[in-house]
Amino acid sequence: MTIVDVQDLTKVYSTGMRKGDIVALDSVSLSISEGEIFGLLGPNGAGKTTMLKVLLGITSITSGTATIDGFPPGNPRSRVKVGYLPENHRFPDHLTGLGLMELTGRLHGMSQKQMDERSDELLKLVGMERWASVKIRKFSKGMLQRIGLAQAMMPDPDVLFLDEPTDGVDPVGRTEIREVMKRIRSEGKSIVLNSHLLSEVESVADRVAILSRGRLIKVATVTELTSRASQYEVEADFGNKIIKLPEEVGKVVSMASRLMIVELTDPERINDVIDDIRMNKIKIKSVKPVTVTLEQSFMEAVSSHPEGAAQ
Amino acid sequence: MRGILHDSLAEMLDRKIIWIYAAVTVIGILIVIAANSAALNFNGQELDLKTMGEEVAGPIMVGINRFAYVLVFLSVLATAGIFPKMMVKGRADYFLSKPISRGSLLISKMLSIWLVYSLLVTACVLVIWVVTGAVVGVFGAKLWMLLMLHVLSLLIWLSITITIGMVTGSNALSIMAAFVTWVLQQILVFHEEIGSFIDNSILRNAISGLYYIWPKTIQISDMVESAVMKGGAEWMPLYSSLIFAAAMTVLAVFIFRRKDY
Repeated sequence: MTIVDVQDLTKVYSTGMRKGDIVALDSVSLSISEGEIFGLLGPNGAGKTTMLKVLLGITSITSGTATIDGFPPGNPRSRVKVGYLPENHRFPDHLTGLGLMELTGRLHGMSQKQMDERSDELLKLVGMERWASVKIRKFSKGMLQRIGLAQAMMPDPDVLFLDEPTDGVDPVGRTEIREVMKRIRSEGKSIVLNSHLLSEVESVADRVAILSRGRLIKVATVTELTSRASQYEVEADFGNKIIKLPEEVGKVVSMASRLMIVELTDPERINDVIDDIRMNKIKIKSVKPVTVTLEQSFMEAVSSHPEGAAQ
Repeated sequence: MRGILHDSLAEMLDRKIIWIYAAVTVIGILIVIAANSAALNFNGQELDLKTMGEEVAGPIMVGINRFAYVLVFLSVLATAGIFPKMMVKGRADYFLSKPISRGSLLISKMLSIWLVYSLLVTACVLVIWVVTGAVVGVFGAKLWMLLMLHVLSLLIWLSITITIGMVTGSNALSIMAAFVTWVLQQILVFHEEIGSFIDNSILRNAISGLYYIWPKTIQISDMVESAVMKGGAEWMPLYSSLIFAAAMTVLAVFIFRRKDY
């Protein structure tokens, strides 16, 4: 079931008559399902943060539509079961860690009992229980991210918007935050993750959208983005034998004594390749699609659409 | 409202502004004691204020009224930056992503600031009133009126500073707007005298009209003095100023709902 739906969304910032307008989002359409971690990728200025701000009603829509759980961003009901960790946040620094949790709870209309229970649980989850009574202004960057994540989870959100959640967090903290995200997903909740750390997105996201200059250039699963559907890696004892493929099947990209990479005209043709190898009495150890990192895939997508073009 | 009120209270306590109000109140107490001592030795004659009764009640309330005016002025300066600070980049995202309409957020914040600082002003005025009564032996009348008018006066000031603070995002411009409002109301008090020097009837009517539209916090303060010294007060400055404050708040909500952060 779709929890976030965006159709032909355009956001234009007016910067004054002389400078002209800035198109931050240009006819973007996408949808995010329940129980999904959805990554938003893009170079600086691609429109990732604007997308989150528009969905949360922080910034207005120029044209198009957006809904969260069926409600448009202007409607406060769209934010009842929503958590948000903004990028470069500046939480009210006159509050303590617990004070921030309680303020968030009150703004979400929670009772004192609910707030007490939830605060205890979440402060423990993010490892901040010892710092609950310390003023936020004394927190380090990593601690601010942890408390930020905890406040975002305070209303037990159905959808969590995280803008650079691991920014300034040490490697141990990053791993913990990734585990928290996976746990939230396992509860059937959705996460919209905006991060520059592609390895982080790759390790947790189910699907990603790549934005460039305000345009959506690709939406795909992480598996689709990181695999070369037409290329396969075959591990076998080739020895000195040379495998040649018919043109209608594909071609051999590289060949070594134990490894061969083939590019096929159709992924189904891998069976023909296997048959061919077996006919040569060669023992196959493994056959798997060639994969690339999300970073490589991202760079290819962005460089192939320098002006940003919907696909 | 509950969350915003707690936040406003926590913010006020964190800023330790309460100590400034305490210091001003202590100065007020010292002035009362000093004035009382001076009066006792007036013209070489020893006066017993306790036997003078209601004769000093009016001047006492005028003095407390001036003290309350200073506290309201202090509150305007102390609160001018609160809304711009709340809407700085990074913090605005936090508040605006919560399930509250922008109108409710702005009005809740305004009312919370008003409530918190009104309590502070009321507490300080009550301390001075009690101390003055204890020292002089006469408790000034119409205290409720004094408190109500000054608390409403603060609300009128807040409608101006919060609107300007929200639109400009600047603490300094917010204070400047309050200052300009104060200067202009000082000038507009003399609208009839100014009008007598102007031949153009349209301009004369415009100045007169502006007088009725513009907030009149100085005249609101004077209402207390009229009530205690002359026995009655003209309520028009309060009504027209409250209408101005309501219009400013509606304008602020209208702009805030359309503002991108």
